[in-house]
Amino acid sequence: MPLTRADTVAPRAAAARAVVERLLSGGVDPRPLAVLRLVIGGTAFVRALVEYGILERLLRPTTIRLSYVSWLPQLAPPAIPWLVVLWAAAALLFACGWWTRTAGVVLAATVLYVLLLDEQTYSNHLYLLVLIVLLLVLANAGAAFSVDARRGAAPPRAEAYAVWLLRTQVSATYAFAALAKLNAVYLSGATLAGYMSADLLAALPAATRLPFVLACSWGTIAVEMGLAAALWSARWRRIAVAAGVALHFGMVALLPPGTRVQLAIFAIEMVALYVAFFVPLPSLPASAYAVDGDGLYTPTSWPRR
Amino acid sequence: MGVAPGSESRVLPRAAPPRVERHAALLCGGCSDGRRAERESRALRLQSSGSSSFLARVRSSSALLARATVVVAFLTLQVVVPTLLLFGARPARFGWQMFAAHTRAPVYVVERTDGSRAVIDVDDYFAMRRGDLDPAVFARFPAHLCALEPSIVTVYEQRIPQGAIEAHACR
Repeated sequence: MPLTRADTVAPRAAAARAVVERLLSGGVDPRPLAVLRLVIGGTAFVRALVEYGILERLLRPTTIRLSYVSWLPQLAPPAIPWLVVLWAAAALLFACGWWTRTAGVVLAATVLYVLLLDEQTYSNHLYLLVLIVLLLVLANAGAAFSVDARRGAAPPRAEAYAVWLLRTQVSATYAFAALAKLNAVYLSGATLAGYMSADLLAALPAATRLPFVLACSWGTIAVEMGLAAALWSARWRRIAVAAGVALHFGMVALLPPGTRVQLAIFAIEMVALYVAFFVPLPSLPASAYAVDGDGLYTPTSWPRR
Repeated sequence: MGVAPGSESRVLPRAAPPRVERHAALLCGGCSDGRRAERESRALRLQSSGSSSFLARVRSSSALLARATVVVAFLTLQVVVPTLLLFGARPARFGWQMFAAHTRAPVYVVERTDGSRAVIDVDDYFAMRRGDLDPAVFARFPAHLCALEPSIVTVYEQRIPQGAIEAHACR
């Protein structure tokens, strides 16, 4: 008796549904995420110190105000230190894993407020910081290497779906960064030349400047597009990590010194996020994973602990 | 629902092996509180033994729906918003358009009541003049200069080198 369409589609739909359910309800080893939490909390703390200078300049009488969200309460100059202290304290608590969820939510809310305060305080890596911190809160990143874990205040597992979202965040960031660069001005090299350190360009022989800028412009698009896909592949992951580190190091080296601190913070955020690709997720068919006695998903091909 | 018969017993073993205790102790962070480790291992053991009913409860509970909602919301922020922004002018915020466009600041010259003229350093009036600042913000800059210094009568603006010069009279 020949198979009907329903005979083939129904099992596939059931399998797909099972995969989604495993991803939504599954737990993973919290230790890699704990390391990510430490790095992100630390960079958020450093970024708070950088933000103090920006906010102080923003509220000078001579500085133009470019309100981004009209209904957002404006910051008074005496409130700047308090806001920065709140940001820094939340970042430290988050890094230490002490009241991790509360600290994470406060940190994300504070950074989001600054992000929306003015067009001059927006930056993509602050936006990324907000999303990462929220995802780490959802992932239960305080489940290991934290004060919460020592107190027994956090369930001993991280959430698989949040780890998967951290992965998609990395890919989306790289993919859209590459796609947005596919315009005539950027491909001509003019955009990147505008950003590059003038001293560096001046140090190059005149004949090599245009080829260098073009190579950087086109190379950046290729690397970003490659990273968006390659990090998902076990075969290409290590090469992708090396390429990603080189990309971010190159950005810090090529751009003017005034932007290097913020670029370095962005680089640390992105490279630290690669950890999410090394955490095995329970999204493969059930036969590929087994649940350990500790309730965590582990590939069956891995040596048993 | 959705899981092939028999697969659950393969995925979630009913008997909790001794690893449970070891892991509970590990998650205890090296603490010597044996009672807490035992409490955690008991909870995990109960979770394993009642896995089928636990999964059934999770499936039917609102927790799974809430997680699915969170995933959809994040994917919207991660994919849908940047995709829509790709069809607009660059650089756009919340679209991961880092270094995709570079905004050049216009050149400004102010003329004062005494007839003197001076070139303005734009960076003196910005907290952080990012390269991807929306070019439209410079439309507000002449009015800012006028409001800041009553002695200024006219602000001259040249948007591109060798381009036309616009005069903005202060009121």
